[in-house]
Amino acid sequence: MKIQINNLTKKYGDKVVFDSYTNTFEFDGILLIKGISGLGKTTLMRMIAGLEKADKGEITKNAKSISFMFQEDRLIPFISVLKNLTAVCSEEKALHYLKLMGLENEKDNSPLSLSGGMRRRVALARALCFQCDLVILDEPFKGLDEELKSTICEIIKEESKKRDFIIISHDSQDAELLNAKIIEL
Amino acid sequence: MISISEHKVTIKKIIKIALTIAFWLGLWLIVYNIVGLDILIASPLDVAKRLLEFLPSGEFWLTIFNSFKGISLGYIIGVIIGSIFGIITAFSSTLNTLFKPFLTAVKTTPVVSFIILALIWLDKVSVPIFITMLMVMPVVWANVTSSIINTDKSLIEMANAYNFGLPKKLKLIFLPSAVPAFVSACKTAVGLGWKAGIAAEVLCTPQNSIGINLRNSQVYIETVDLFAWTVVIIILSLILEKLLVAILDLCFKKIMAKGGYFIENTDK
Repeated sequence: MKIQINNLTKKYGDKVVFDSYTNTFEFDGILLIKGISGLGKTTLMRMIAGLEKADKGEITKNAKSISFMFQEDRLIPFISVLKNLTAVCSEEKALHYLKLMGLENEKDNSPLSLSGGMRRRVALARALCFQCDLVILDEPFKGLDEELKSTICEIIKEESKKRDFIIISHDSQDAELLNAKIIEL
Repeated sequence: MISISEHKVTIKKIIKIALTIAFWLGLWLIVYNIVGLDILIASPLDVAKRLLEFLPSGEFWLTIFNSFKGISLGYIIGVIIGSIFGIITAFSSTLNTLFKPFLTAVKTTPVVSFIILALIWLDKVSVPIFITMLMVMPVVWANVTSSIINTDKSLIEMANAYNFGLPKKLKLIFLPSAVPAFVSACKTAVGLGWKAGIAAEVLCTPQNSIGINLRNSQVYIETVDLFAWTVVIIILSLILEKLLVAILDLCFKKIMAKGGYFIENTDK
């Protein structure tokens, strides 16, 4: 995967997040974007995913379709866990990823009835079951305990054989767990 | 199975309602005795007698059926038009701006102005239908529009990120977000529509309607009839409201269950 960022400028009012920022992300598998909060990691990923426009500059990438897992779970509260997934993929695929996440018994429940960690895993399952070339995960391990985190790292590592991943994190240890390339913003 | 404490609560509630009714009937009787003029205030006993006289009469039930039919038709048309335009204006800010003065005008203009205007345009039977529709439509319209506009923006962004088409966005995000507000608007509009519909009947006097009976009571100074018909209107309004609320709740639950939605109808 190659993502080229040329002279990117992004402001929110008077706050300049990026000022003529140029960089190239070239990786195969998993790329971990690291940096203290407020540096614009999420903003940059949102621009890569096309969710936000840059004020100036351009981003070129060789990914046709991108799956984006937000920092918040953003599950649709009106429908079941399974329906949240079938909204983006087939039922067979949805059930496969729910099973991977250990949530097959929760498929008919409302997302509101789940714990924070469970909701995070449903959001991750949704991001994974979406057909794409690149998966961007914004703080995917937020609210997960160490055991769950390492299980999910294994799932991501396995999935990264099929497509590339960019993961936003402020924990360097995540890179080791994921065997990921690190870029510090 | 009802527990003893629940049973006690129900009895207490019934006693409270009975005492409240007794208080107001008592007050009515006192005022009637103080005024002492049947032409100004009818006796509660005379009104009760007149109501009992109404009951076996076929004409009475036909009258109720006609008013009920016309007002219900106007209500249903109002809900349908309000919902359709509510959805349209929610997705088009230009149309929303364009229709805002119209909605404000309908909401602020006295209903009697519309009734008189409708009397020029329409036949007697259609006026109550039109007026009920006109009163119900803006309530549903405004609620549907605002609930869609206020849909959680983060969910809309998520839907865009996962390439949801408009039908999917409508089915999974916009409509479930709007349903509780829609049901609530339908409930609020029942009373409004009923009162406006009866007012229209009084002014346009369609045959065999509650309105013409109210009007005749006034013309022939039949105060007992006027009070009796007013009681009928109040009772019917309560029944209509309870009935429609029950139907709406049932439909809401069925649709939500069929669509596999988890939506709490908090407006009970």
